[in-house]
Amino acid sequence: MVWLSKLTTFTILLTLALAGVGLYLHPGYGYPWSDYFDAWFLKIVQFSIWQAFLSALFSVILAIPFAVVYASKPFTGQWLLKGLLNLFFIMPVLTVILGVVTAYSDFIDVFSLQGILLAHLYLNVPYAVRIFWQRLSFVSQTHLNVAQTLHLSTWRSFWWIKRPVLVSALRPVFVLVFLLCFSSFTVVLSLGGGPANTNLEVAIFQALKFDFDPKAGAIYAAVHGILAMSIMLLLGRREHFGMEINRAQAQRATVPTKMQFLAIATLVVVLVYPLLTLLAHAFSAPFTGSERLWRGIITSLLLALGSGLFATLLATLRSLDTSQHRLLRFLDFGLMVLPVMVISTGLFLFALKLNIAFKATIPLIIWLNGLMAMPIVLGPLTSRVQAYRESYSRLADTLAMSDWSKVRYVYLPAAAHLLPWSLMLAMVLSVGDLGVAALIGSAQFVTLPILIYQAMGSYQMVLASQLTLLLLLMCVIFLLIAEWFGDRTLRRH
Amino acid sequence: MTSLRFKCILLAGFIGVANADDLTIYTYESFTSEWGPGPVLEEKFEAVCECDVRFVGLEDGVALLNRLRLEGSQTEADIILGLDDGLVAEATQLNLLAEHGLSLSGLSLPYSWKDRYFVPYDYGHFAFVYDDTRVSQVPSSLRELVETSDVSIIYQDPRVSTVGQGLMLWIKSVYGANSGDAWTKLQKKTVTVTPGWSEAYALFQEGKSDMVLSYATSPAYHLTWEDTDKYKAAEFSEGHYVQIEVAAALASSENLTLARSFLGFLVSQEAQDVFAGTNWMWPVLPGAEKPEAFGQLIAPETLYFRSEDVAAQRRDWIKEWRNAASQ
Amino acid sequence: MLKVNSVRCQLATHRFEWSFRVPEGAFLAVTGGSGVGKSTLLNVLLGFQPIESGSVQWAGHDLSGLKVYERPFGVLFQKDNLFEHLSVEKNLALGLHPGAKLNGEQREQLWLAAERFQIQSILAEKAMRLSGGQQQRVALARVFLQNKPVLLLDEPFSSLDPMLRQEGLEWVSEMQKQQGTTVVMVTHHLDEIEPVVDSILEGVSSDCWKQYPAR
Repeated sequence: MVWLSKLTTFTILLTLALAGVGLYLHPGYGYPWSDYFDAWFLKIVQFSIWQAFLSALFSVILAIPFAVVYASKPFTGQWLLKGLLNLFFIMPVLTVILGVVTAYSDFIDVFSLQGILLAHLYLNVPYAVRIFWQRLSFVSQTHLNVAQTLHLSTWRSFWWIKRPVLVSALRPVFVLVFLLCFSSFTVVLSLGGGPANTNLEVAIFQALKFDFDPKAGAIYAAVHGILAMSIMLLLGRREHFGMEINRAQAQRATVPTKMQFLAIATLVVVLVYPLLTLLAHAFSAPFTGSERLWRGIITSLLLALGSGLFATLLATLRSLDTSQHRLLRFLDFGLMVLPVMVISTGLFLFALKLNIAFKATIPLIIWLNGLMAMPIVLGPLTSRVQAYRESYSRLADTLAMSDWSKVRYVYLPAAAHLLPWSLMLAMVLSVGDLGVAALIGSAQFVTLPILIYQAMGSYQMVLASQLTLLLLLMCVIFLLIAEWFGDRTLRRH
Repeated sequence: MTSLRFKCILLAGFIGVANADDLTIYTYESFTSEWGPGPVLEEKFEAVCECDVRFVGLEDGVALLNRLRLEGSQTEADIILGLDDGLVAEATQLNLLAEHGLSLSGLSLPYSWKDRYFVPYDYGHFAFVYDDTRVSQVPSSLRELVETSDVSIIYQDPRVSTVGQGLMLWIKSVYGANSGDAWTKLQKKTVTVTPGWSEAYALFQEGKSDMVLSYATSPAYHLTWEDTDKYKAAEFSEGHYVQIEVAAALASSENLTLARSFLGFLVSQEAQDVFAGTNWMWPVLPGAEKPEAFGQLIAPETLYFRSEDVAAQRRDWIKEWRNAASQ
Repeated sequence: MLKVNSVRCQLATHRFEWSFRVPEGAFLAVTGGSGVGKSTLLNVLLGFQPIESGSVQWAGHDLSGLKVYERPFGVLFQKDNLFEHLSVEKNLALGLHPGAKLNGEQREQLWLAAERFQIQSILAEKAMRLSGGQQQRVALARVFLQNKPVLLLDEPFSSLDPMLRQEGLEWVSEMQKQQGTTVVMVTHHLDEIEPVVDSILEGVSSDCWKQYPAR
């Protein structure tokens, strides 16, 4: 049993090892090391950091006022707003990119740093609002009541009670958004990509795709990893923000105040606006499917299902592992920071060596996407299993239950009712993948995101919008299924 | 019926059925578009070969070469079509190609062609195209464009596009060792660098720039289909870098005979008649049909490097461009 | 006889020391202020809490080094005594076999216990659906099935109302009388259980415990 729960860690290590071997055995050119550290290199490092810094800074600045207003008191229908905010965090990045392009290209040059920042804000402000809001709602009502008896003004009570809460959340949110944007691939590729607006992750892709230079890819990847890790170490511990669905909120909710109403309306309008322009674009011309399109859709569904199952399996096994060793945890979450491109390339090159690269396209993509989605679904599973372990481990011991028996009767049931939700979340995360499929797939290989990217590349914005809408629809269906399962299990209990 | 169709799609998608009479051709995107030469050639060749021609469109010419390099002998392609003369040596070094075995003596090209692997099928000179009604101060030389003119331009990424690579070679042949400076100056006039020709041209037509890097033959398209002479190619006094587009068969092909007969077809009268009016390039067969508008095009001086020289220095030249263009 | 001989342990800044005896079949109540170490004592007996010196003996055998399930104790904790997501039947079965796989004889046993504790009708229910009183009976039925010579109870009924607490106590005391089970029960409500108790262990401070017979 113990070895089974180590399988996830083993899979991660195996992947890293194979990717390393693949990169080492690469068939490409190599140039002297010093050749790679030129003006261009400095420029992309600088751009990566600057862009991520600005994205994180603006995200935090914009998110705080909204969060403060929302958290001032519970209001009816707040679950809906929370749902919208969550949706933006897990929605396929391409949807946001295309939304930004269709909505703002008349006002600003979206294919620039501005466009990149705008897309990053759309992806991260909702998330930041969500975290700050959650933190602020932990502020105890008693404290606020005490403040009232002390006759503190609203501002003072904010300063003494809520400000410390915000400040404590500031750093982790900033660091997380920074890291996410630092590793941003799809946004920077689609909206930057020119030589001036390139970050390390895109440079890796270009080194492999354009220059066919795995050594450059490996160097950029190493630099990327080192920088990301230093930022993590420098700016703070990794805090874990769960994305667990929180249904049981029994606080008394009332009609939103005027201020809240204003804040809700503003954010909803801003968030929904690009989606609406996308919708308008999509319906501006009739949709004509093609065989290639259907193939792309079916492939995408298949990949999503496979990756979802794989991610859920890995996460479940990992959550059963009692070992909370820092190194192991680091390994789990390191996947979120490590450049996907490098691991993908390494594995791909390894598969090329084995002469199976184009026969194993689908398993390879499932493997990689599953691995990438694993850390995100792992959090809720682990905390659930952990909670059960805390409640029942002594009882199980007194009953002489074996490891297997504990898994079967305690931990698996604990995880079970999160599994459909995890599966769907992992599917949503995988179905929008562009990078891995674009890198690994042969020329004829199409998925829905690849089709979207190609349509966008040839400025066929209407087709791109229609396809994006389709992608979004798929995600919404997955999420509805997840909700349905969640509700059903909830009712059963 | 639908479910059967779905099954077929699944099978075709995942097993990649290699029919004995399939001819898979890797080419660049615009070649396969419905107005490009791809569909017409496909129809014409399928009529004589009783086979199924399948074009796979990749971003642009240089991307084709990289794809080939990546896939190596595992590639599904029988033919690679759309590399240009500058990439010939580099592609040959991969040892993936089969000799064409054709005599190419009757062809007319900007310079003599003796390659054993690659068959040239059309050519054209690179040029900056502008809208006559919007731009009045048209530069008359590359040096003027780079140094004194204040027009804005869009060009293609030389790492991906053969057109962008054309500009790189053009600048190199005019500026030599001072190309880095030239790029830095040009950067100030650059609106954006796109991955491929189609994107650049679309942006130019939307009015995002004064000039776009394209071909001296591009105005012929507008003359023929849009009946307008407002799009013009600027003639530069230093001469224009030339591009010869080429195709070759892959040694790993299971249908080598078929692939070779397609290469022969490419330089036949029947196929050559197609290129001028669909790909808007000069056909290599002197007697091939051309739209009337080809008579009104500029006839610039030819600049070119030997393919071996390009192969030896392309990476350094790209780095030079990259360092300047990212500032 | 359960013998606890000068057992010492240290938890944070607290030093604990216990010495007491419980004859076979007797009922010991453990009481004292909060933080004095009542629960810690149970953890020591079960082996969850390592000890620095002294010994715990049952029927003349030293228990040190034994796994928790090798010790002679059946336990009811303050809470989480049932796997709430499992059925009553599974919960009981786990008392008989650690993998809940029962043979015919064990099934018979389970059924008899269910009858005895009046829970036959709810065997298929999930434990989380039961009322407090039902949960208490199921938990008692399970320790009954485990059939250990000593029953350790850590204020198991404290969250229930006095009526149900009384009922629970009656079940325990019945087991003590009929099966000859030795009982060690931590309690805050000494007055309620005093009638059935044989002796009392009172914690004055963490390292000072007094044992005296009940009235």
